Amino acid sequence: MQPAQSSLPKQLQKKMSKQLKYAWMIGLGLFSFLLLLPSFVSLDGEAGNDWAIFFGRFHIVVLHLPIGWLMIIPFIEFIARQCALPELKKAIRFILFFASFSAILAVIIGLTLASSDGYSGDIVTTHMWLGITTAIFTILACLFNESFHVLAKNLFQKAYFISLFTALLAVTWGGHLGGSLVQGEGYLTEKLPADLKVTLGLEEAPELLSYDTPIYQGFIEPMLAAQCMSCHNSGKVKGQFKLDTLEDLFKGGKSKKAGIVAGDLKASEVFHRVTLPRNNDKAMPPEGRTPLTEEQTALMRWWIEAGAPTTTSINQLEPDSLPPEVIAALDNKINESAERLYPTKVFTSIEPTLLKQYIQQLQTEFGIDIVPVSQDPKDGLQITAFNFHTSMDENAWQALSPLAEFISYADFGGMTINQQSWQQIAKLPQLRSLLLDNANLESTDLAPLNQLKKLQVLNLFNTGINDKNSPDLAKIISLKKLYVGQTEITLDGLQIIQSSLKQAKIYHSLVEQAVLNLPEIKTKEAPEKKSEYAE
Amino acid sequence: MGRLEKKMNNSNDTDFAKKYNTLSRRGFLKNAALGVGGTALGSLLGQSAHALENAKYQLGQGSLGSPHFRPKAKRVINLFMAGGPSQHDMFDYKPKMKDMFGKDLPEEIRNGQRLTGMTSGQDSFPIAPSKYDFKQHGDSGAWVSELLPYTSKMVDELTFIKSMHTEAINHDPAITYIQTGSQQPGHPSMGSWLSYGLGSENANLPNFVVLHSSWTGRKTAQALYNRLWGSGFLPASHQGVSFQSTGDPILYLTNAKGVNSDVRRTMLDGLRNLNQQHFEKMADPSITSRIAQYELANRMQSSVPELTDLKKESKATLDLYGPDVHKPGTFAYNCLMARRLAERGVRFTQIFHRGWDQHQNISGDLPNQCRDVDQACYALVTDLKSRGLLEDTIVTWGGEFGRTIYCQGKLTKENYGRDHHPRSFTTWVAGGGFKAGITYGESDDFGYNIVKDPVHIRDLNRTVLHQLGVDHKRLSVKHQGLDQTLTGVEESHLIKGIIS
Repeated sequence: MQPAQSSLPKQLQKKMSKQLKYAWMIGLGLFSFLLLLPSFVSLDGEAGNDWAIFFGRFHIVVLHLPIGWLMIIPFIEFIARQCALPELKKAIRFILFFASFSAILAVIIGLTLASSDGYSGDIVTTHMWLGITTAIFTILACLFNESFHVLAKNLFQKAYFISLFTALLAVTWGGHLGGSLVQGEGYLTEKLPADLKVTLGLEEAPELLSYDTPIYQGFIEPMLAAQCMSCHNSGKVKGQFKLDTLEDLFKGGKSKKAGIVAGDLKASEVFHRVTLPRNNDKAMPPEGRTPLTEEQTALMRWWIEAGAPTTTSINQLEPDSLPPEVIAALDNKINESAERLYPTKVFTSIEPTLLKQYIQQLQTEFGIDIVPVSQDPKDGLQITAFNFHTSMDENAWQALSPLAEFISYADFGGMTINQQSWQQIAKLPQLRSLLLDNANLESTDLAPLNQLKKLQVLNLFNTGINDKNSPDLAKIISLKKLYVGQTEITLDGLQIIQSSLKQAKIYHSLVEQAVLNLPEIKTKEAPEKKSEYAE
Repeated sequence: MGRLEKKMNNSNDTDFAKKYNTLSRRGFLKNAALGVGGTALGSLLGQSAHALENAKYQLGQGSLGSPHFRPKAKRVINLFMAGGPSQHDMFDYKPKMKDMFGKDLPEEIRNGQRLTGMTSGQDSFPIAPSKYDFKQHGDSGAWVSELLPYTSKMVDELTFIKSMHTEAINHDPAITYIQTGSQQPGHPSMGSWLSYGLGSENANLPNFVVLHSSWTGRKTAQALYNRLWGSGFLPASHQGVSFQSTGDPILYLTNAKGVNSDVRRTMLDGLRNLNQQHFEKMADPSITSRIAQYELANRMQSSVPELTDLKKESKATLDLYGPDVHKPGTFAYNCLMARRLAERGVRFTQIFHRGWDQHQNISGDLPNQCRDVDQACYALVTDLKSRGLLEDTIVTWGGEFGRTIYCQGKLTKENYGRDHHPRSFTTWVAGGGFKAGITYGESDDFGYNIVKDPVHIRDLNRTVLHQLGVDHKRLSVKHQGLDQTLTGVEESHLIKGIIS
């Protein structure tokens, strides 16, 4: 493009270059002001006065102005060039002026906010410098653009483009960090499908939680990470409290009160804050954020009262030492993690007529009944074999295979189970309840069962298992209930299972023990009396 | 209801009239192959004998297709103490009554409540405190009297509801009410509703079995009627099948002399064809019920002898139920049978034990009655628990109402009688996701009125349905201009405090 200055009178041109000089001088003054500004404020996480906070919070409003002004410029440049509309570029001159002005304003208000509203940490510092960089390079772009218009030197145009580009970069990166400060880190990708997050390296592959997972690592830390870490991390240390390490959590923040005191609920500031009534100013997380659920506070309460163990797993605790609501909270988390790793598939993905065909074939040819557990397809399918006549052979398993991944409940009570059956049962990934009571076990190789990650109930009542099976049973870490009555499992075998699955309920020789402890009955009978009464 | 369920369940249509009035022959065959009468028509459709043997289904899945939501329980065993067991002498401990022996029940407690014809003529209503010792038992500290030493041992498995109430004050309406949700006869009983709604898991046994027990109390007890386990306006195939307590549990199941199973089969096939022709002419659903019942009876020729064969029961199991278990028709025998039925997937088993109507001679009658059931109840719950069945089987124990705190007839320290009392009585529940080891609800110091957490019999029925995954309002059929349900049209409550 060709600047039109050559046609201007010389006097005017002189006047303009003089004005340009002044402009540059003002610009340089602004630079030093902006660069010195941070030394007047301290980002120490202390709260300032309310008026400062009040004005500071307008940063969130004002910051959008320089972003908007800056972003429109590349479009105007592009359209001016593509459509040969040079006069459009005149707009850029005052857009850049507004952009510079609003950027400076945003920086000033932003610093007011940061210094008064308890911000500290790496993120807020980087964000501050990026904001200042944005302002400086916006002013530079404005000045170079003016210089180019007045002096028509291509060098100025180049410098303008470089400054604009730098300002755009700074505003993008700084804006992103600002978003992280307000919404918490990872806000944008939070709802990205979990698998994709792992693929993109945004998150580590989830681990399967179980009663063997250390309680802090598996249940407490993820809860703190989800609920508290967006404001309390080394990047944004609100209230001088961060949760990057276990020590940080115990240490606490600005109030000088310990974050967690093992075994002392009242002295644990973290617990105090998250359980304050929601209308209390000090309640955490602050207003507008999701408060902790009852389940989460119950879990935290129990953890602190239990001495805030950092490496203990549930299985290392004494059985029945966990209150039911805590067990429920932990179970929910365990189920969630299993669900994430082995997501439930719904049988409604199968075409209805085909599904019906599968079900009918199993029913008429093999006597195996399959019905949905409930009208919610997520509950899966249940198999029962009350009408079963033959042994479950290869053909039966073949017929079952299209439905295998939906089966959550299987009752093979009384059936013959051979080596192949065990292998096939192990291929029912959604299985929660497996009932094999009174089954005729041709093979007692139970090893394949530990592939069932969701199995909670296993019934082996009156089957041919014995103590040799105990180690395999002990490996089914998801088990909640195990029925081994009327088997050859002895107290030794039970010991092996119970020491690994401490919280699981194992039902063994209940009837036999009850018979040994029958109450003594008074033999004296009440005197028989003939009744004269008739209605 | 989702698209899938609609497609999957042809028998989902609850509007019988609509379904059957528009039935063409072709339509019937199609329907039959999918559900109703499938077995019966198996051979007509040219299926192999093997397929016929294996196919089920008088009615395939129930009318709901599958439960409305994930069920905690799959079946129910109801232990029915017909006559109205005295909560005052068994569970509802009222220590303050000791000092009020013989004093008149204060008028403000009775508060104008209607009485039965048996005591309305009495001049006074003297308070009869229980003569039996009460103790707290188990970790839960539930109060149980000395009459129930076995039940005392399992209180931590039980949910005691001490605030049951009903409106009916006489036996027949009260039993009809608790069984069917209505005091007027003609409604389906709970077992029929469940059979109808949830369907059968075992094609070889009835889905609703009724067992009658002998009792040692006063022999002149209230009668029970077939309609108490009747299916009302539901298809007759859902009515309870009542087993004989002596001899063959089901009469005429064994083939007559000179008739082998082939002959029997040929006869049944012929009979079925005739019934089938009749049905095509009349389109009367009771004919399909009849066909289904013949087929079920045929299958029961082998399944029932297997059911009643106790040879495989361990000695410990039999000992736990006590010596009575060897005598068919006793409550103990029936409890073992109930467990065996539950194990075989039968949806609803109901054991009736009569003779709990102690208008007088409590000290003579009640200990005997308690002895009849106490050990067997304990054995049943323990046995179910050890086999993993308690997890998805709801056991309920109770009568149609309770008994009064005041004495009927002559009151002495040693003996007394009690009249019917519907305003507050005790029931216990075990298993099926009910909270174990709790006592719910409370009556006043007289055990007369409820002061905390009342549970109407309708509320309990609704809660049981809920545990079976059924929304009580949506298990319904249209009849006499109403969407009929087990809980009726009156308000009912889900008792969340007793379920987990």
